Amino acid sequence: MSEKIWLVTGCATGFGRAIAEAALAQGHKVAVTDRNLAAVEDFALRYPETALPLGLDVTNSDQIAAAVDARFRNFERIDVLVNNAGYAVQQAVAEAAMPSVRGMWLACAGQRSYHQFRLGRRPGLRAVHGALCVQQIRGRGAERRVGR
Amino acid sequence: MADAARTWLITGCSSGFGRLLAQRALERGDRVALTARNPAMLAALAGQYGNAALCLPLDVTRPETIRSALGEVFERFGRLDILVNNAGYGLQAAAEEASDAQTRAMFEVNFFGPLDVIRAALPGLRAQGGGHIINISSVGGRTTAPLIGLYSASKFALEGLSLSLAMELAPFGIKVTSIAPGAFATGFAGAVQSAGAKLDAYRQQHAMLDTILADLHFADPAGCVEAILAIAGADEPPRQLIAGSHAVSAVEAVMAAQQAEIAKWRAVSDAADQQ
Repeated sequence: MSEKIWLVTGCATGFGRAIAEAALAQGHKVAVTDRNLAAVEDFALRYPETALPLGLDVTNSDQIAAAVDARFRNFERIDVLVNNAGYAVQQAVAEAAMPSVRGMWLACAGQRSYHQFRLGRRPGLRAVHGALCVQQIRGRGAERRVGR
Repeated sequence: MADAARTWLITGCSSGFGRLLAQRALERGDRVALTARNPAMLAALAGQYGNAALCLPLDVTRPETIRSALGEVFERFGRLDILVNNAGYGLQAAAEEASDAQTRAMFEVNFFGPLDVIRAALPGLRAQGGGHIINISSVGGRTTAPLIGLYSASKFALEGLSLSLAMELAPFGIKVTSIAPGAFATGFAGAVQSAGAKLDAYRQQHAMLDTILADLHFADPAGCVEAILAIAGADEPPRQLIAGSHAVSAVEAVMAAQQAEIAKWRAVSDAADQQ
């Protein structure tokens, strides 16, 4: 398999971590991102040549911009973008606090800004064959953040 | 035919489905709270129906107007049988073209607005032991196409909420239906926003969509309003109703394609939780 450049969000735990780990193990280069940078720095210890830990909160457009810049400086392209960061609110509609519902949507909308920034900045992904975008919203419990 | 008079609250009554639906409900003898950001536009219509019509200012992005409108409806009419979340608008833009501000503003009107109205109405609906919430979605909430992804996202969100609410509110006797109209001559197309900054990369796709829209037959909205009247307040209304034969075909085609894709990738899907 030829080497691909990945960017994965929400790599602290869950699917994000597992996806990043699997891609690195197969010899790909991966920007492992999470809003908690400390939670993904271990990747760089194990894969110093191919893992690039970055702080990226999908609700923060400045961080998205910085992460994308760093990505291009280091690896020059992105082949596979995995939008994994997400969480679920489990509550009756009548009882959920609006800030938590809006927060969940803003996290999703933030991923959209991410695409927009990334694609608007350079026409890279538009031309990349086989780009993979995966979005996960999942979780259990009254209100629990998963995968970050 | 008309059973006992029912009470309605309809958002977005200044034009389109909202206005027509309010008029038809009033004609059949129901009591209707007609709401709009600017209720002055409703006065002429409401004036013909005396006390049966109540014009109220309601901007779905302003919670205080939602609360006061619902308070007024319960005070004046004593109950609310049918709540119609109709206010909404479209956006034609590539995901990359639409500004963050215009995307979020559309979600506020198309998704968070109805959510806020429903949440404000629920205590009253539960207390009276039932009601029917009708959310006007779109065929774009069941299918999608290039350049309407953000609009579709807002309507898919509304469809998802509606489906869950239909189950969540069943124990209280509250019914929930989302309506997916196809192309109707409501003035909707003229109110569709376009991208703040169009990118050359999408010019061809815009041209293609513009051609499709120009050739589209926009049906008389009266037919869609009759469909809404046919299910409003029914004992067992549909959870999702498509309005328009072309829209039905479009949704059927998408469902068939989804089924085919599930079958094609079945082995990969099934293996995912078998490790």
